Amino acid sequence: MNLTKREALLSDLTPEIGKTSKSWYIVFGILLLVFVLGIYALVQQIDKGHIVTGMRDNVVWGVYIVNFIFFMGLSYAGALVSGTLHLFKTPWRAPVIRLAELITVISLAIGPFFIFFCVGRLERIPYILAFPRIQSPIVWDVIAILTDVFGAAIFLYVSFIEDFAILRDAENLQIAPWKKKMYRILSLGYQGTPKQKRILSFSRNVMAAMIIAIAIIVYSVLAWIFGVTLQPGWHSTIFGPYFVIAAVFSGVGLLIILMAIFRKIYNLEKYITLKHFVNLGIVLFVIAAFFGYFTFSDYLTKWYGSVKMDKILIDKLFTEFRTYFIFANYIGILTPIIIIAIPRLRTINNITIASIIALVALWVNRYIIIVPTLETPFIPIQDTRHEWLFYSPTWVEWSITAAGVAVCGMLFMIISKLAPIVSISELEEAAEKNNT
Amino acid sequence: MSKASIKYVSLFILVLLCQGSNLSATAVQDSKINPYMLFTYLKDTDSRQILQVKMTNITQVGEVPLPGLNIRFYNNETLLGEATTDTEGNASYIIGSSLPLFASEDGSWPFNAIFDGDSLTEETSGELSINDVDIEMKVIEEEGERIVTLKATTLTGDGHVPVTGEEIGVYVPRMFSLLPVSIGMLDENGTFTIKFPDDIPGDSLGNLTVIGRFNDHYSFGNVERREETRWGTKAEMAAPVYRSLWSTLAPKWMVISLAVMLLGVWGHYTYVIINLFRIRKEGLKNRK
Repeated sequence: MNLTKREALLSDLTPEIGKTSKSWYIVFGILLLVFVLGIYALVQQIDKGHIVTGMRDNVVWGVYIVNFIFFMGLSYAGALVSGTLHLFKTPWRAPVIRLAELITVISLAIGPFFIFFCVGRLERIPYILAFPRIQSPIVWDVIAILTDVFGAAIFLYVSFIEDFAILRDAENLQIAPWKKKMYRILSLGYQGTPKQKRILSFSRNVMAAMIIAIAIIVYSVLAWIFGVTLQPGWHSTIFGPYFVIAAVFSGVGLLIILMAIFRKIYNLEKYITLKHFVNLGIVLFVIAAFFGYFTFSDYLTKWYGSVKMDKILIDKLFTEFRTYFIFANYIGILTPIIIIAIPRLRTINNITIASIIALVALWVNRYIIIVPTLETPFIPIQDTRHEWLFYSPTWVEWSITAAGVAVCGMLFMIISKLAPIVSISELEEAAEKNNT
Repeated sequence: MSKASIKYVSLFILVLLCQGSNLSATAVQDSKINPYMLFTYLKDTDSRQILQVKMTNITQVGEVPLPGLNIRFYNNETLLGEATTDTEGNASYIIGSSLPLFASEDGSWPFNAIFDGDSLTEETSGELSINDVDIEMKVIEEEGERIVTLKATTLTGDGHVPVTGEEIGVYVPRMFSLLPVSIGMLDENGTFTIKFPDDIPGDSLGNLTVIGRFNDHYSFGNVERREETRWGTKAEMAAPVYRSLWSTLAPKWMVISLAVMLLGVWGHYTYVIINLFRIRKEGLKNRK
């Protein structure tokens, strides 16, 4: 690689590594405040118990589980997208693949915490490891998530090694000595020798293939927690693939949003172009169509079957939850399809707006999968107080949810100070291929 | 992304969330609960007279117990006492043995249970008319046969007289309700005799409670006698050792599938980690 070109790439792609801007501190400070509010809410919950949440005997899972599924979905989508882009050597992948990899690990670091917030007796959590019953889908999920955490971490690290080596060798980059030391250790002495390149490339291919398979299996396992349960609306054979499609839908949406954010704040217009937005927009279009098909298929069969409890549930979705339902299953699906289908509308702004709507719609979709079902139990509960029968999230749950989103943002910001958000080595490789 | 776009998207999501967060709260029940009261009388094996009420709400998906409701019990117009329904919707009142009860002209006791209603639940009431009756029960073994004899009498001006031509039964308790062993009519002597079967499961020692009972009788209510016997077959409570979803051992296919998948995945992880050491080793070699 031409050294001048590398210097230019380093200058463009590492704006926050060498120095920290005032706006970085301001945004980080705001996110930190939200996080502190979430911690305060969590302390209230631990001190006073789950009575401070909207969860009661009927709806024992609420916003926390919605967040868990949502973040895990983002993680698996990140894995699927980055793994596929890498494995199939997609030519335009270079500026976006690192973001997809980061989505995988950061979402995975946040999602499982929401399970802990749901558990009333936290001291019993180790029992699931001490006395596992492998017939239980919860145990499958614990095993799957642990396996996925390790896999995603290895995948991310392997993809970072070349960039760590570049940062280690960057003499003109003004960075703290501890960062230099960190890059030296983490780059494992990588010098780009043919043997090292071959080993690293093969390892990345292996991990990319593994991470795709694991993402599909792990998110299916999560779906089966619902699917194998005899609850109205959950006991469905298509929940595995339906959840996987939903995950990819939300993950691609988040990837496009992050591309727009980092493109703007780090001035990456030269690297992340309209072509990347349109390409990922087309992926969003296809996934939205699949997601719509699965959604229609799931509800049609339940509605047509007219099983008493399914009928009550669907009536509930079209009355009490109709705003949610219309947003999640009509607006959230049709908006990206319309915007991408009409070439004139394919602008960066429009695609980003469509992604934001799709992302929020997917969260709402999870909400209407969980809450209405739990409000429609086969066996009615004894307590008939309104708040026992119907779920309404409290400020505690919203604060902890906001804290989760804030941590997600903070982790992206911290990582952007330690490593480039756009992979330098991938861009170099792409440039070399273009030259040849 | 332009500021205007961000503004519109934020506004749209905010409106949606605000509207959505109120959705569940709008699903308030418009009217009060119209409760169903089941009012029954039980004279138990210790001859205690108990008035029992079960309060439920009949919903689209079944009966929901109504806890925390205050029920007042009356004999004619005399307040006997009050009780609050528990989590199962049950409330009961034990009539003191020394309490003189008002009897109507036909000799029966009129009882009432009244719930006055509250902010969530409509008022309701129930009434019963009970004639007092006693049951004697003998459980004996003769020449290898197990015999249960029930004798029912009622107190009249002429003293204790046999109750005839009424339905009575022998029962054993099971997990959810009473299992009828035999049901028949009282003869002219007020007795009902059966041979008790020898194949009814008891506990691990063969203990079995035998119950003679007027069950939900139109005139006597529920009246019963209980005797503890060793007439049950001994129940084997060994834990299942077979492999299934519900036993302690998982099905073999499940164990094998999980093991193969985990070995495959973690094997690849190990291979990649070994490769990382190879990269490092190569780096060290080149540095020298």
